[in-house]
Amino acid sequence: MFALIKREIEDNIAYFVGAVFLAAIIIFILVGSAYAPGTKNSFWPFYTLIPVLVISTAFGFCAMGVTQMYTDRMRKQSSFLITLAVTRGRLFSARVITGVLAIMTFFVPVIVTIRILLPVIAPPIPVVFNVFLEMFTTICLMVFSCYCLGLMIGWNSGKIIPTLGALILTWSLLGWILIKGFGLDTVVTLSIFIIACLVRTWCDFKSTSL
Amino acid sequence: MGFIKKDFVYIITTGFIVLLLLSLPLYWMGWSCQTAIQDRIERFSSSAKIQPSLLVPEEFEYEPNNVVKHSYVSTRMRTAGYGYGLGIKEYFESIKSPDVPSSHFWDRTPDGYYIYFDAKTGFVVHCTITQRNVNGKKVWTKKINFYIGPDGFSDSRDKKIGRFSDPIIDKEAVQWQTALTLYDKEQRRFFAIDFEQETVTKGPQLAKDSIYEPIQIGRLIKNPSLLYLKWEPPMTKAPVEAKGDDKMPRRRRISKRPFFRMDGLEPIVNRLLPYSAGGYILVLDKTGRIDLLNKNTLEFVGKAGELLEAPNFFSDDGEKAVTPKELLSYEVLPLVLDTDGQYRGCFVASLSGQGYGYYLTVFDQNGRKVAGDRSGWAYSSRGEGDVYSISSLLFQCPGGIALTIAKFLSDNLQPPILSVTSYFSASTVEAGAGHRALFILPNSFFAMFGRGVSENYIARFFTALLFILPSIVLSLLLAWRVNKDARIVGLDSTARRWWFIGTLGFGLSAYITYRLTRPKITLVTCQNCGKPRRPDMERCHQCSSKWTVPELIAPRWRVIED
Repeated sequence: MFALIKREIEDNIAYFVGAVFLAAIIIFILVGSAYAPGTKNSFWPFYTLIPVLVISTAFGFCAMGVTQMYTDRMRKQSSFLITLAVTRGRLFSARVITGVLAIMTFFVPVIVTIRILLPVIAPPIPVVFNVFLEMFTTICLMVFSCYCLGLMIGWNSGKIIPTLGALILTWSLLGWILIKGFGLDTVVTLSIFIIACLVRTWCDFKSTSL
Repeated sequence: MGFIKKDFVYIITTGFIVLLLLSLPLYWMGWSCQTAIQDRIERFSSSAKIQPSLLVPEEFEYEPNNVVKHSYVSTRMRTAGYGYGLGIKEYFESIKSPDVPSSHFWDRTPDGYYIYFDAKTGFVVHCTITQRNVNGKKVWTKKINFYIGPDGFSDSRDKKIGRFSDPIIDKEAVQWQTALTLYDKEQRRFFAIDFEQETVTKGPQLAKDSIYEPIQIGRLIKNPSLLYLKWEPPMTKAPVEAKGDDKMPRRRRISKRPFFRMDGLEPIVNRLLPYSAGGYILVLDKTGRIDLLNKNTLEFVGKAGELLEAPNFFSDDGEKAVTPKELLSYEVLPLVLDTDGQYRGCFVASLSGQGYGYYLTVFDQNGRKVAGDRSGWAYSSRGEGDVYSISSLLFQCPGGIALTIAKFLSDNLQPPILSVTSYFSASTVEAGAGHRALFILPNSFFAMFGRGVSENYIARFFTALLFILPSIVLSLLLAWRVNKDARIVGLDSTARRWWFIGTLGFGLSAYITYRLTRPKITLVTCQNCGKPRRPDMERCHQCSSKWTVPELIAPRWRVIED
């Protein structure tokens, strides 16, 4: 299993590097604005970065999901790996775990940085931390939903559906946050959506002859 | 048979994904129409206005040698604006609102103190938070001044002062006074917190079977960005010398005389404080009733008024009492004059759940309705007078018909089963939540028609089905296509029946789900009946003939080498 995960990471190293690079940029901007001298309200960069963060990570990780499944289907990687006595379940799990690791590679440093900077950029009242927790829980689930959407769309032999379909559907799904906001109902709906996407992708992957 | 059993989970998950992803563009379509319609209504409707306002004493209102302009109260819808009704906007607005159960209320007083309710500890916290530069670094310092519980003040988290559990506060009091009135839902009593004296006064506990269920106290308002309520006092001519230089810029002139107006008038009498009810506090009940609470004894003394229904697309009455959750916006303005500080009554403005019409009511100090007016539209070009009908306004203002048809079509792309569910559950959905609903649509024409109906229920339901007739026709057509294709593909009768019923109920979503989940098998021609048949089945699903595998018989011809 570790070998499979390691292989997946190697195959998708570009996304990990991109996640680290983007996280570094965002951390640099946040730290710089928090400690910039003479700035009255240092919370504004945080607000303005959120849409950038959400859109870039949603499309980025959706692309990662599409790439993982599309590359497998075109290059028949799973067909080869099956001959090495590896089950489809392990292959699929390794893929999803790699995606989760990539998402965490981006979000964990950013979230830890914001948590450390919160006492600097915001007044120390409970509502600030609660808002921060709600927002980032929703954002993480949204990004993971887009990744799962990419996995589902990527298992397609055509070219238009994985590219255009992923673009349109990811953009459409991002609208969910605008419509419903952050909070429990969004978290629950996205969780169900993630489970549905993973189950459907697994059914497709399981039933396709390799 | 094998298809439905084996792939049930696959179909359900695909169906859910399709339903969710399809609902998003349909939502934006409906939201665009709704916003454009509200913009039209806001632009082409006239204010609801009552002049004179009927609560000012006659000696001020009707003094013959003094009054140039009577007092009036008016309300109108504000521009809906971008982002109206979207959850993200509501989320950030609700963070600061003490009236939303999920919020953690906090407020900042003009003196720089922070007051918030700490849900974990159950205390109201009064603290001072400042931001200083220490060695080039910004540092927030928080100094807790005191913790407040039901039984008093404390410098520490002392259990002796008790705990609040689910408080509602009078937020306006934080801004204008040194006392804070609070209602604890679990303890069912009011508390008066005096920050200067550092005391907490407990009111009597409301009985469990009491008619009172307060949900908001003090400034009674919901979605203030949507409704504009204004009261102006009776006016008289200002003294000549006060007019000043007409050539002076308006801004400078106003800064010198706060009540000076460009029309040369000044108020005869004015309000004591915005949203002050004198010795009382207004309390809004869950049923929409507005009660008066004595500030000192913390006991109810009588009724102040109630929320009344505003005109919507199918109803122009405006006389029925409604609950706060049925209104998209409301505001209650008590009147206390600076002459004697007595409570005179209140003005209540309400905006309908769909955001189409508003209603203005005046209640006297005994809670009796003395006047009411609704939104309307003036046919100034035709000279036919005001029209008090939202539907006629929509059909006659520019672009109104196109927008109404667009909204009607977007409603009909929704699954019929969800439309029917909306019809029956519309009145249980909170008005604001209805504007960001994706599956249950309380603001669809179908649901609006059935809202709050108690008579001729069955007849009204069948009449209302006309509003979703295109949706039903579309579902029937799609169900027929699915049935036809399922027969060709070789699904058994049970599967076909379920797909037919599902497509009838879920319409376009079910059809797309079928197309995504139908067996992807290349059909071959049956030698017996000539129709397409599945090669993975032993018998043809059309004529039940066996699958004849041709034998490998060598041809009669041979290739001979010379």
